[in-house]
Amino acid sequence: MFSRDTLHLWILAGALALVGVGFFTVRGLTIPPSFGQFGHYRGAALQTATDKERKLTTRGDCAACHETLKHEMGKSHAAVHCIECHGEGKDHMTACKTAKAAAKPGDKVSCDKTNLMPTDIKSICLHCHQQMVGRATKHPQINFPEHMKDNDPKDPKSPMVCMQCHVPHDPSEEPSDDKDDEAKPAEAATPTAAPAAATPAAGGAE
Amino acid sequence: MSCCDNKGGKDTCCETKEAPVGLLDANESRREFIWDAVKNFTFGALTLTAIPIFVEKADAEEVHTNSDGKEVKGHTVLFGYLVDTTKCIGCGGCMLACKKENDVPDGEFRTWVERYVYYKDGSVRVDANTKGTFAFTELPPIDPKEVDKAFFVPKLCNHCLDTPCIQVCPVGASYKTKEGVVLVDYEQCIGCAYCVQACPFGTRFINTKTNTADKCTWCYHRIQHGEKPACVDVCPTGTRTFGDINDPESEISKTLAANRIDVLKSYLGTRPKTRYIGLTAEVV
Amino acid sequence: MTHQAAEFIFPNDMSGVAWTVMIVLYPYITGLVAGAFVVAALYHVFGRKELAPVARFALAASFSFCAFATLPLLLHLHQPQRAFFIMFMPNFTSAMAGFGFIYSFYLTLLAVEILLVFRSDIVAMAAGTGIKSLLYKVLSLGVLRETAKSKQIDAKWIHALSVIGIPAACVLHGYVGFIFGGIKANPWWSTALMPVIFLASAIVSGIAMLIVLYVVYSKVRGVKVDDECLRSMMKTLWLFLILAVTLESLELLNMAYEAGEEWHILSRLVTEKLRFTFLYVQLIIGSAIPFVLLLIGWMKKTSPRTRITLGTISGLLVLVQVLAMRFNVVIGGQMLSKSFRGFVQYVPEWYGREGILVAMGVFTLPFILLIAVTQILPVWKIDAHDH
Repeated sequence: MFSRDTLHLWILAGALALVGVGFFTVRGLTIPPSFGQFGHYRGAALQTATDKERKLTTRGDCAACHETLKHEMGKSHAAVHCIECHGEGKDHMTACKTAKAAAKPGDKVSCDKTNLMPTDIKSICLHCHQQMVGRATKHPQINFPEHMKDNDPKDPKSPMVCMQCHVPHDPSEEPSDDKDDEAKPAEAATPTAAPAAATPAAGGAE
Repeated sequence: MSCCDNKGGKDTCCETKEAPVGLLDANESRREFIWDAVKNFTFGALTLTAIPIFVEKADAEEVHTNSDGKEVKGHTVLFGYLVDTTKCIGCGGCMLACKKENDVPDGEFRTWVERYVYYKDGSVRVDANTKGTFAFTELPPIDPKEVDKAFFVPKLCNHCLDTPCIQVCPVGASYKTKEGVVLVDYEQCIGCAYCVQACPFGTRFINTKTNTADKCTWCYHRIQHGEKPACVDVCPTGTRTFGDINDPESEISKTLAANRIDVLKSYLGTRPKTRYIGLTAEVV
Repeated sequence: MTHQAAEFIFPNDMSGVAWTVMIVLYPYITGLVAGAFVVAALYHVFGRKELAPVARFALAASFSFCAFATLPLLLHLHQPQRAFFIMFMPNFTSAMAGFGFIYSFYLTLLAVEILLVFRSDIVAMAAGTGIKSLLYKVLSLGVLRETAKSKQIDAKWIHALSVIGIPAACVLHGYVGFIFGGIKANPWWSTALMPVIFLASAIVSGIAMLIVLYVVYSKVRGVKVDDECLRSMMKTLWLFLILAVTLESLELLNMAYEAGEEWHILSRLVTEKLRFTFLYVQLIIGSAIPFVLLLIGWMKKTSPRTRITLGTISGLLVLVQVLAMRFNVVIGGQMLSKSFRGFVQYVPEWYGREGILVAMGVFTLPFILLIAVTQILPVWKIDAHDH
């Protein structure tokens, strides 16, 4: 096999073998340690995927403090996530955390409610309740001008017009005079709240 | 098309020929056996060089938290997703939530909503709002008098049991977790886009921010902490349900058991775990 | 389907096709590699002695194109710095995972075969001093001793490498076809014929390129074109062209005849979106016309002068045909939205990493290398070896 006549072939083979060794060396250094831990992928990727930041306010986030609200919500709106109408309320949650930390046990904690109350409830309501081809017929839908004509509210121009007849948390219920639901949210809201509230679903389109 | 059923919490989707119970496991282990043989043959020599590839699979019994917040021990969690198209109102909240939660660039979609409109003249038109708040109310109105029927179909990754996308990934950047969630490893992906070609559902795309393949993760970072995916959480109508389909007591299992269930493009045999109620033949 | 559905593409398709002109170029280049090698193998293995004038050149051409086959892929990858993951952590369920190994094997095989085929000349030229002889000393692997025995051993290896190279070329290119043919999500790609079609068109493109380059080089060198060699190449090209076009048409015919669910959209793809590149360029300009020209060209009665003209024209047309075929497969397939209800907009990009200008630049590189190789090695010398 090995002779002076095959020397060049052996050199060639040696060079190729060297490339091969180089390949496996670099390969060994490149492969992440967790590769193949659970299957043909990087095991550490699972942790990275799990640890990704949760951005959107969850129902659980709201319920952590507002458990009782759940019972207040009428059947038809029980499935609607708070952030759909109230926005994400990140400032509210931060403020609450600080306030609670500062408060003595037994104190009544009052949290900042800026930007929480919608100023244009009409567009929020219509977002889901405007009559549209494709929506299930059993889903309550209105043609707004006709609906105004049929029901003749006190102030049809108001962006909060819907609340003159409907309670947002429980639309099946008639608004009662003593609670004065209509006025309160408008007071609480600052003018800057308008754009945030006007964008309905998921609170704050960006 | 309808060949999915859910009996006793065990997943039996599109498996009419074989035994329904524990079939998934049987299939997986058979495949793994063959695969191990191939690996041993191919890389037998390499293991001698002590390269940390193909080490023994860790298969420790773990405690999972299912989507209903319950701790589940003993049985394997298999996540599934159900879309009840009869409930969707096309508000686009899911798309907006997904975009925000997952930082999805404009013009790229982990989930979207289609509208199928059947006109009286026999034509079917499909549209989708891919801009703004994604709400269909932003689209030009359609005269209800011209329409026989119309409905919305939310779409997302099907997290198939037999995934064409993982099959074609050349570097192991696409993988399936033990809970059946199909994920992309953004640090491993070379961006060849073969998976984008292989997905029959158009759910994969090249993310222009990360320059890798991307797709719906069922919000893995939320479900691993007992939360629901963002789209499910914000859906105001209960169109989207998510949960453990191996747990017969979960909400999704009960709904799956009680309804006629369909999957998309079942003829391709990918066995999607995203299931549907209320599809028609025109929905692909 | 009971209803006719109007245009709708999946939202993720709105950003255009994921595989661009670079992925058109990649199978085109590997096709030329495989095709050129087949010509060399016809001489070395199948005893087609009349191909002796181009046998060495075919090897050099095959190598030059092979050396740049991965460049379009690197330009296409969104994470090119991770390119080697495909060899370090290959997922063998993927048709793509074998690429790195098949490609490396083939490039090595070509390099070794070239070093052996040209060894006598390299050793002779390494004898002198100076920078140029240094290069030959490296190419001679530092062994300047050549005996009758060593030549005999080399000849055996050349033969063996040629023999191995034929299935390897088939694997290299059939495999590219399989990358497309194995995608069940895409009815325009998903056919078992795809690897064979790619292989046939690869051989066609390789022979066509050799015909054109042989004629051009002969003119440049002021050498007479060997009529028997040209005629043989044209005859072989004609044969493989028939095979390639038959397979390509068969695939389409079968889809049209079966007229399954997907034909509704595929028929529109062929007649609307690919009308020019498929019907006109691929089938008429690139197949029907060269078929006639080659037929006239390889007939004995035809004069050598006419043969050169016909060979060059049909060679160029066939090269365009194969490029169009790659385009129609790669881009055409992606024009089909997975909704099967509409077409993805394909806007050719001129500038940018994956643009047409860069692609054209990439495609000139193998030719530059080929010119360099022809300067360094006596590619036009007729091989003395007899197998």
